[in-house]
Amino acid sequence: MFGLMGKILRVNLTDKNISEERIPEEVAKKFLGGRGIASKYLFDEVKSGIDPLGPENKLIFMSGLLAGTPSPSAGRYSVVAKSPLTNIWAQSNSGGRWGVDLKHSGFDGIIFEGISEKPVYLVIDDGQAEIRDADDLWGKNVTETTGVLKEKLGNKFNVAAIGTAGENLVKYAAIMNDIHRAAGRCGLGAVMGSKRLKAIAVNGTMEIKIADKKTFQEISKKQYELLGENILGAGLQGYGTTLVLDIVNVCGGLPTRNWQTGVCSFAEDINGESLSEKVLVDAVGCFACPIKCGRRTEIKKGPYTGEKGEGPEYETVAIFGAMCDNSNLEAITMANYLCNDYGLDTISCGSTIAFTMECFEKGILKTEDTGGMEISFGNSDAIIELVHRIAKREGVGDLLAEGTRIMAQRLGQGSERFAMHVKGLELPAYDSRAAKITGLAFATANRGGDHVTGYVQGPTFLASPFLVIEESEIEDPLKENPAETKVVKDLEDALTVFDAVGSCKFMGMASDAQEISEIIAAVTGWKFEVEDFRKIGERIYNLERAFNVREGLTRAEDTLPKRLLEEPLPEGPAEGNVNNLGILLDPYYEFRGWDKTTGKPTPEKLRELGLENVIKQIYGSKEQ
Amino acid sequence: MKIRVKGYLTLKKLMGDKAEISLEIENTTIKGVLELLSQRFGQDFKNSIFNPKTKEVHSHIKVLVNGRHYHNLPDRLDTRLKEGDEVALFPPVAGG
Repeated sequence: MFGLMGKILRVNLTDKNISEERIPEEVAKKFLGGRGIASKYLFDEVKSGIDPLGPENKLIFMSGLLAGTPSPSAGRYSVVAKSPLTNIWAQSNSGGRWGVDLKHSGFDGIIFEGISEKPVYLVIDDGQAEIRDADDLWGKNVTETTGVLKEKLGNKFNVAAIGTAGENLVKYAAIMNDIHRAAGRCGLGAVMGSKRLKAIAVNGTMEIKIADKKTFQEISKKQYELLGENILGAGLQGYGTTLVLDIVNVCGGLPTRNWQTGVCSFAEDINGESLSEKVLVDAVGCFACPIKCGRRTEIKKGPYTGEKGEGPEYETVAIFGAMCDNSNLEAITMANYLCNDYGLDTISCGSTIAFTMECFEKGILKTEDTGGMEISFGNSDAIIELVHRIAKREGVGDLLAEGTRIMAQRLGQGSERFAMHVKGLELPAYDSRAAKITGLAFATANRGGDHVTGYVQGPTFLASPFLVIEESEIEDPLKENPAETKVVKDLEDALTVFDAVGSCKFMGMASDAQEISEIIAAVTGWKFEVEDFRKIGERIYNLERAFNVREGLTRAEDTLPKRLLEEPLPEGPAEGNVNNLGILLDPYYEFRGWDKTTGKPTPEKLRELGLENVIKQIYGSKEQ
Repeated sequence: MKIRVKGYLTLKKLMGDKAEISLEIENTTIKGVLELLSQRFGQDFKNSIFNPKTKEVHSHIKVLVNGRHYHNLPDRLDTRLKEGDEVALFPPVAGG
């Protein structure tokens, strides 16, 4: 097989059996790799209703089809499982170079099954896999775990690991690779922890074969040149993803004080420029990426002086900053370092802290509940202390470790109104009341409240078109326009393909579907056209939706927190606006071919996408 | 009337690195403000905003008036400005 290695490892952690399987060519052609193939295995092999932290859940790592080829910005891998945070389909995606090294070790992916009695780690070295005892690693965080494994195995090994947050089953624990890169969202670090799998170390020199090298090199060269000229890349390299903070704030959509307002008065203290002045050491990039949006940083003043690491990026700054009403960039950076080392998703962690601050403000939580801590907005010391307590599940940290949805259920007293999650996944830092179509994308994203499933903040807040779909323009972000719901559908489908091939979504602003289809054709040797690109994205997206439907998800869950539906923004350019989601859901379902009452993909749609086997799973035998 | 202009990131640097500029100007449009700023801040600024060949505003430049992107306003760059309006200028941005 070209592009893919064509093989996966199946590792049963209960009986320690390891086997190799070939990926059937028809599966590769229908699902490409990464998120696509992983979701196919998850749908086929995991029954509905299982405990995400039990032995029946499977944790599937899968590198992208293009990962390891010199195609620019395409070295990413996906992790897929049922989420302990949302109880539905979950995918988390990460860059760096671990996904590339996994392929060089001989495998596109690994399916972990069962639960190990004792802590273990997996080593793959040039096609040979072995489960080893991890007793000495358990209790260590990501930096130390990676260091110990590199010392034991050699520096050429690359490590994906969990920290103590994953061991302690924090519901939004991340899986970290290359020390600083996170497969952050949906709590898949907790799934890894539940299996007592501490780490996966990979190394190898196996060749990733390309079918038509000449054409591939021509297109890749063109893409590199394009990115070199692209001023978008220059901005990202200069300021990191925090580049966007000011424009989101100017639009009045920077969630501040747990989404009480969309205007942050201290944005200039925490923006990309400030980050560059205060903590930036160097710009760092993922494998084969000329953009280099990563930040190597060092804290140069205050109590954390001398601490070094990578980050923060936009979401982390916005959430530990504006959301927590905290203007201390050094504390934000320190919170990021701690999340990386403990293995925590910065979005869910920071959002849960912001939610806690509002509960404290409203008297729903008091100092007697918090072990004496004043968890008030703007208290940067409390933020740092809470990150430690969450990872260790100490004191009130044990409650926060469950995430916003569960916290609100336990605390009651009206806190659900401002528990800012969709389907249990904490929302990213774009206030959808200031760009209505983003609310639809948050409400319908397969993994819950997420911004990179549809990335519709690109054509709204950022006024940056996506070349990868035919039409991405949004006429007026403050109006609900039913016809524009197709932009959400088209972006979701296209960006699903990005996760399947391992591409960074920023490439969707620089490359069109034709170019990406030509790259896929050159790498695989398949006849692959734009029509295939679009259909495969839609197929994978519908399969994931079907997984959720099988778990009991209905239209009722495609919604937003009450704050967004009922509380108008109090100030700024979007003052007075709420999300009128009802106007957008029906037309979106129509474009999708989903039943407007149940939210299920219709049998006709599933047949059209070659997902006949799914029909029985979500409709029972009568619809076959 | 008074118009406030804020440049961000690379455009801020080209505008004398000032956080905010106040303009006294009568009867003008967004495009009028961009032309005035080009006269004040010189060729590098002008080339960052206007395509030297077509003389049109670069499509990647973001101009917002009171938090609204100009292309979301009915008259786009010909939108007339009023007392107290705040114009924000951004180079291409992506991220998140």
